[in-house]
Amino acid sequence: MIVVDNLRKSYPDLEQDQVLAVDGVSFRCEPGRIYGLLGPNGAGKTTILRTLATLLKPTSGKATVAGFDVETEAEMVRRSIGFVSNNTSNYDRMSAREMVEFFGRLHGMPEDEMQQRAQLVYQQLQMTDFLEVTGGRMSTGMKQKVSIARAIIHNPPVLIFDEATVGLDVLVGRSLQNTVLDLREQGKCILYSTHHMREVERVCDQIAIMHNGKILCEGSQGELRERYKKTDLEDVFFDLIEQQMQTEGQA
Amino acid sequence: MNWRNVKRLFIRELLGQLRDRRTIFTTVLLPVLIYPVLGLVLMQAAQFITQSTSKIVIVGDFQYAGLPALLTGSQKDKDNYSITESLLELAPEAFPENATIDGVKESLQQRLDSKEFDAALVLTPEFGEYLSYLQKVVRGETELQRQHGDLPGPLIVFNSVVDKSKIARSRISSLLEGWEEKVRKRLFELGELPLGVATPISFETQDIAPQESQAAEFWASLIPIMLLLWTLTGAFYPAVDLCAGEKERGTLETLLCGPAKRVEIVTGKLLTVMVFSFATSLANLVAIAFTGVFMVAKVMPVGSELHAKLGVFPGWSILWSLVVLIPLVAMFSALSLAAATFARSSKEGQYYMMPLMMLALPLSMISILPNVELNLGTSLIPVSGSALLLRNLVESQFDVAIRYALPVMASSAFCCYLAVRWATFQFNSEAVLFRESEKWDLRLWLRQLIRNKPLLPTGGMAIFVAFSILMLRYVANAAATVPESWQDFVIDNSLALILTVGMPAILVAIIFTRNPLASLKIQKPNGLIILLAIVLPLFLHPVVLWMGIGIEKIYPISPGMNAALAPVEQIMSGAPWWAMLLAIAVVPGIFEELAFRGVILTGLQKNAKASSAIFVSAAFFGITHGILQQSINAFAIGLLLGYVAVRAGSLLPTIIMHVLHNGITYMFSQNADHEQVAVLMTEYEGQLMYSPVVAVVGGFVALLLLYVIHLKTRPDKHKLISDRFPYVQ
Repeated sequence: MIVVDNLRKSYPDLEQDQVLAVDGVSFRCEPGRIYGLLGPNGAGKTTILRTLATLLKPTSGKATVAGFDVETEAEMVRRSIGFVSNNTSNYDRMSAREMVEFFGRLHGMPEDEMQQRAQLVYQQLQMTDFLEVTGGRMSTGMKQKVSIARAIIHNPPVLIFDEATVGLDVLVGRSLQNTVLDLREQGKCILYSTHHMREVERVCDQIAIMHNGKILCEGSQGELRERYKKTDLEDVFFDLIEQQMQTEGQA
Repeated sequence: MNWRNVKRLFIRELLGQLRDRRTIFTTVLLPVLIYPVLGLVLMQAAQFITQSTSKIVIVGDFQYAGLPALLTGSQKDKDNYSITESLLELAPEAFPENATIDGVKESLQQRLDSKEFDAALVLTPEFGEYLSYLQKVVRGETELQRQHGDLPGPLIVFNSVVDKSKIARSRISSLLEGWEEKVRKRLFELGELPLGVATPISFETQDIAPQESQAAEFWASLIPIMLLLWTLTGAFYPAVDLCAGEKERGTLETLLCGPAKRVEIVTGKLLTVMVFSFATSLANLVAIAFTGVFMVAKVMPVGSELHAKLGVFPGWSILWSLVVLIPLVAMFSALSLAAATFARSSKEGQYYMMPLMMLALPLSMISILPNVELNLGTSLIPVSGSALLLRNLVESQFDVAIRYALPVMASSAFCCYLAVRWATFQFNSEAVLFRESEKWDLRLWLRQLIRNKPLLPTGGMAIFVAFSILMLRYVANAAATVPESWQDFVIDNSLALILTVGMPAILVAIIFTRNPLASLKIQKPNGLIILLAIVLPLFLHPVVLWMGIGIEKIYPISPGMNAALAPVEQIMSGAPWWAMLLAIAVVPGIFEELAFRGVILTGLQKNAKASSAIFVSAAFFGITHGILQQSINAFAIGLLLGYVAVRAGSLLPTIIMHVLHNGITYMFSQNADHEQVAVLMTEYEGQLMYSPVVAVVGGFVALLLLYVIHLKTRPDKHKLISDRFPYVQ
């Protein structure tokens, strides 16, 4: 489970002294559910996910992943998650098998257990054809499969996908979405960030629309459509962003 | 730390590097190939040099009746020439009739300028006459009336700016020297005198150095420098690939969100870099040996000095290199790793190579300077100590090497520890790991500096103040003259301190921060701390004095430095005590504290841990003192003052401590008898000194007082954090 409570994160900036990338964000994501963070570029999605992956420390607020505090129990958090983003690449000079098994061993999995789990993951992600291909020679689709395999080899309860479909063609993107849905069926708690509306509609159970570091609204797809009297989620999104920009302009 | 993870990371990084052709080429193949290639080039060059001849014009007659010939062979019979003669292409010319020597010189100079020949030898008719006259003198046919100095001897005309002309000059000189010896021998035969009269004193030399050490001398000066430089080069390229390269490729983030701790990642990478650094230096050593023994030595004439030097490679030095290189490899690897982590890309990483090289090169060059020996002082200098130790080992000076091996290793290990900490810090820094390509804009920067002033100084401001002080002190010292009176000394010293140390800090605090008083740590302290600050210097004084003696034992003050300080000390001894206290206790106590424990320490605290900030501010405080012995002392005192300033959150206790410490030291130095504290004193090397027991007790009490300060204070974190993160509620 992921619990985020009034999370803030600021960065020093030459122009504005300090930039508030995440401004008091709170949400919960339950096991067996996919929580989608939807927002334009610069909304603060990646900062939240990096904070949950313990790559960044929160400026204030609290966040727990699988019951572990991201600030004080960072190592346990990292053991409990699988993180896939368009910023996390594979090693060019390692084969798919080496890459996945390296992370399995790093998680301290016993060799036999790791091999069994790896075989399962390879079959699940249809990787058996390119296990000996090195990262530098892989296609984009192969690379993304290896990234997912690397992230789930230790069977973590929580998975974080940060704009994982960026740069993928439609087929590979769809395949990734199917994998995410399969993982939900396995009871994983999944945090899914994207700026593609259709992806959210297809994959996410719960949605938070973000802009300028804030969550503008939160709920299931049906709830959001009903609350804002729109049939299309994209219309909800644009209306909210427009309103927010007007409010900020007046302020 | 989980060593299994370190092992896994190390193996992965090692395999990754071994699969990278570029790294293998730079770290292993290049050092192996470069020397044989250089050797081949040298062979070609040597051949070229030996084959080139010098064009020489000989003006005047060089055949003298009754005396040995200047040239043993002839132009037609080159096989009979000596080695020197065979390299000369001679063009004899008659000495112009009725010409003066000045006229001939002028004419030769013009021809030399037009490159008609490389050098000229002028033998005047008078010189020939003089040689005939000498023969008559030694045969007793005439009296000695003319002196050699009255006549122009053989004259060599050459151009020292042109290399070929210089070579020609040296060849003529060796020709003339050989001829002079033969002529002398002939004249002594004619005069029936024993040849020993000409050289009544001939001396011999006995080199007691073992033959193998003599042969190793050349290698002993070359190997340390080459090894150190290759160690750094071998560390740098893999470090850039493992840090900046991984950032660029996006694999670092993959690793960072994995289960391994940062320190395990750093250690795994460090071990990998160390392996390559070590392998590079060893490969380099083998390549040098091969080139020296099998290639260069074969080209040099057998029996020549160079052949003897290059032909005998001290093979066991490889074994010693392994031992000495380990801590150094670790240090360079950690430094390279930290620098490479800071870089955003491999390209940026390459830029950081040069500063590291510029740091390592002069330090390693110290080992080949004349009169620099391995002693306790030099052994503690990072890099230099290792280079000198290696040199001693290669020269078979094992007694010296063993004596100082421990300090060298300890110094290198300490630097290695600092470098590893720095590298780990870099890996823990969000600002470093996720540094985006920033667009630096001068206008924006200035606007932010003035409009969006921070509450307290930043780390950048602290470094700016520190370097400004160093620059200003350097200029002030260069411009300073020896004061003529104590009044001059007091005014000059006080003004210099206020302007070069105090002002930069005060100006930065006022102009660039929102709270100048807090920036300078001018805040009301705890009353108890003030009391402790008054007592602490009294108990610390014996410790500080003994520390000074220890420092001077390790790094003795040179006679030159003593002589330079003597006039100032003389003026100081004649000055009234209150004036001296003002100049060397009160003014430094206030203004040095405002700068080093004020703006510099406060600024550094903002970007680093308090311990690192104290260390760096003390280092700047030490460097500012200029004289090495004073600098070391000041560094140690700076650590203590920094600690008190951080704990108290105020400058007042450290100003009191600084003023009292300097004041007590001055008063102690002016009172030779120490009657008031005679019971505490003992005689040490002809002067009165606190007894060691007093120093130990004083040190113990001082530690207790510091512990009380530790208990009664808390570092003032709140203000710093709230300034750093303005959104904290």
